[in-house]
Amino acid sequence: MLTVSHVSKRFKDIAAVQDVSFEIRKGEIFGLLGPNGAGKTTTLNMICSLIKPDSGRIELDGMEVTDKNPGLRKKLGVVPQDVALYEEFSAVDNLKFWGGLYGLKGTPLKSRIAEVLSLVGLEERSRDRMKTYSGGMKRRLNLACGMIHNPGLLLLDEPTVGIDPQGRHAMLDMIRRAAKSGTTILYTTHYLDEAESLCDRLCIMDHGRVLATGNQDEIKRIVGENRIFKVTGVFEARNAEEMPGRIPELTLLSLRPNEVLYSLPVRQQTGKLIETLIASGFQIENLSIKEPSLDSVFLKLTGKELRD
Amino acid sequence: MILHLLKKDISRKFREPFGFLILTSIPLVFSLLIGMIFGPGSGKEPSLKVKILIADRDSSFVSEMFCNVFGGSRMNDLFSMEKTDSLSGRLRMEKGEASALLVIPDGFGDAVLDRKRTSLVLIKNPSEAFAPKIAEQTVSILCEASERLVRIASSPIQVIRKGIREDSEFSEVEIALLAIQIRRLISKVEDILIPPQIAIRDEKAVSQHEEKQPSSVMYTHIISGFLTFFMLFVIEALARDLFQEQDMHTLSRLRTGPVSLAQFVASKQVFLFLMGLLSYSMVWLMAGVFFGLKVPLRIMPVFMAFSVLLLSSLTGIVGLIYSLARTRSQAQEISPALFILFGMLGGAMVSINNLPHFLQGLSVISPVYWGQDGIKILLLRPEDASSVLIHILIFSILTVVFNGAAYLLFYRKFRS
Ligand SMILES: Nc1ncnc2c1ncn2[C@@H]1O[C@H](COP(=O)(O)OP(=O)(O)OP(=O)(O)O)[C@@H](O)[C@H]1O
Ligand SMILES: [Mg+2]
Repeated sequence: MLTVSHVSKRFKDIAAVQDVSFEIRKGEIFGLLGPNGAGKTTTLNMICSLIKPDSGRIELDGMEVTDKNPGLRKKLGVVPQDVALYEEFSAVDNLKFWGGLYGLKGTPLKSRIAEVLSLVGLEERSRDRMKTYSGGMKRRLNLACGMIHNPGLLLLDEPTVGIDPQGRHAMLDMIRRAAKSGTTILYTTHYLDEAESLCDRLCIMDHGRVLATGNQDEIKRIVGENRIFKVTGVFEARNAEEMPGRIPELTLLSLRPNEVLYSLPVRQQTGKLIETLIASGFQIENLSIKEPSLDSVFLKLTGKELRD
Repeated sequence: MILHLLKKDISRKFREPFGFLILTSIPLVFSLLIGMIFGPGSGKEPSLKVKILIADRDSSFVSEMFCNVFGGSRMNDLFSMEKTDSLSGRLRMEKGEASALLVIPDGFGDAVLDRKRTSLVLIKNPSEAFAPKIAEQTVSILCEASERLVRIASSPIQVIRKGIREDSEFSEVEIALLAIQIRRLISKVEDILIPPQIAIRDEKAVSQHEEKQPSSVMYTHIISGFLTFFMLFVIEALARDLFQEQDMHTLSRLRTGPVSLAQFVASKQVFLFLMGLLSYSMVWLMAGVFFGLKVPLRIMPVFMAFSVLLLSSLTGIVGLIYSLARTRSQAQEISPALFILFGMLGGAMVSINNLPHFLQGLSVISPVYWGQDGIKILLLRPEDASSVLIHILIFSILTVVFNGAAYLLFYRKFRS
């Protein structure tokens, strides 16, 4: 459906996206996961030809996406990170406008409006001006307007930011339902749990680079059956480096002043590691253990935790 | 596609019409004020009171009643009435000392009571637009009122008249008192009768006024000068939300869909033009309603072509400023300064003849000059309408060049 190959983009001296490649297959929910500033929005903007990549190529259904190809862009539905709608209009008027833009009119438009309104649960307030909506309602309408024309590929840029837990849950449900009805979805997020529960396949990005791509299992295999140990406290760097020699199968992932990361197979005993640490003069302030998960993958790949 | 975008912009404007209405009402209110201040009495009398002279040759109680209405407390804040005789009244009218002179002919009262045709003569001041209209309106309402009154109260009136004719029981004073009583009666029905909502029927049983087209020369002079000038400000104010869609992120969203940047820019330019034209038309509509300013039908096509091109070139000028300026606030600072310069040179503030000589030659570079000159020709000398072709030509060129340049510059600006 969509192929992104070796795409790069610089803004002056910031390399926002560097040599990014991935492929989205028809009907799947593909997650683009990364912390703030990873280059997710920039990648998305290149896919919908809002900005031109410095190099690389993006193809939708075998055709190159450029700003001179408005017909091809009709297949895309874009839900921007910021709510981008007309506040003077009601939900219905907004949907009418965005639907009309894609050539929908008459009865098909009407029935589609009813459909998406019920999907995002805004039927009751559909005639009120958008101004009077809460932040979460605006975001739901933002989503609805991106799907009004039944796009083949829906690009979602962190749609759940700023929504309460129930709202988030509901929105993820909406997205799942949209996917069930045949829409391919590119879902951008910095929430691991969302990526884990929603996405069929994933691409993990940081500092404009792709760190890993694959389905949930493939990604988790990166950490293998390993637990990740994050130790903070006072210790000597030399001691921290020598630990892998003292405990079999222990690997050092990263070392910073007062913080060290190790990975240890699940079958090895955790107690042994802690004992050895204390014996080597570690004054442990905090020790966290991550079971194999996206969380630990991320920690392993970037040396940092993904938190909002 | 452009139409779809345009429809969206227009309906957004009309969802929240206050801003636009206030904007449009600036030239409107301004023109009304100026028209009222300078229109009546050609600047001699900045009061809104309508001065009416009444030459009562009849001196019947019916005519007395008419006088009382104009002099009565109810109408006091609108009219100042003075009695005079018909000759000196006419002389004073020639000097332009009043808005209107009402001559009540001898035998008027009897004719009304006998329900015979008769006529009142209303002489209006030709140099005023507004005030004589009010006088005329009031007189015709009075005519209707007295006609009704006579119909309703015909029998008691006959009795009174008999008394008057026999000259026995009624003294002058008593007649006056009767007139006052009748006026009281009228003032009871006044509430229904005086408001101009009441349509004045075409066949007036008692009155046939002497019609004279109110002249609005003065008003035309004023409006022609500042209308073009003000339209610049109106369009500029509308242009301020050119960038709004960028701030709202809807521009980006539109561009991720099938909308091209070119279509977006074009739709905004057309939008500016249409809103400007709407505002401009509303000013003319008001001028027609309040000052009787009418464009002769036969030059209507020329006038419309002229107006459309005037507005489209003004749109071009504003567009060019906004597309050239580096920032929005820069554009907002440049615009008024430039407009005032245009206004000065173009004769919107001071008559061009009063400008220093070296500036007079420069006035042709101001679009305001061409705007006001064209409007003046069309309204004051419609027989010369063909000489406006040069204005139309100039505006056509400005339209193409300025809008074209603004379009290209906006395109580049929004692209990045
Ligand atoms: N228009 C721009 N001009 C200059 N730098 C930019 C521009 N857009 C993005 N960047 C930079 O590119 C990098 C990637 O930004 P991007 O918005 O793609 O990140 P993101 O993954 O979407 O982050 P977030 O989760 O905060 O939305 C950042 O360092 C950002 O500062
Ligand atoms: Mg982003």
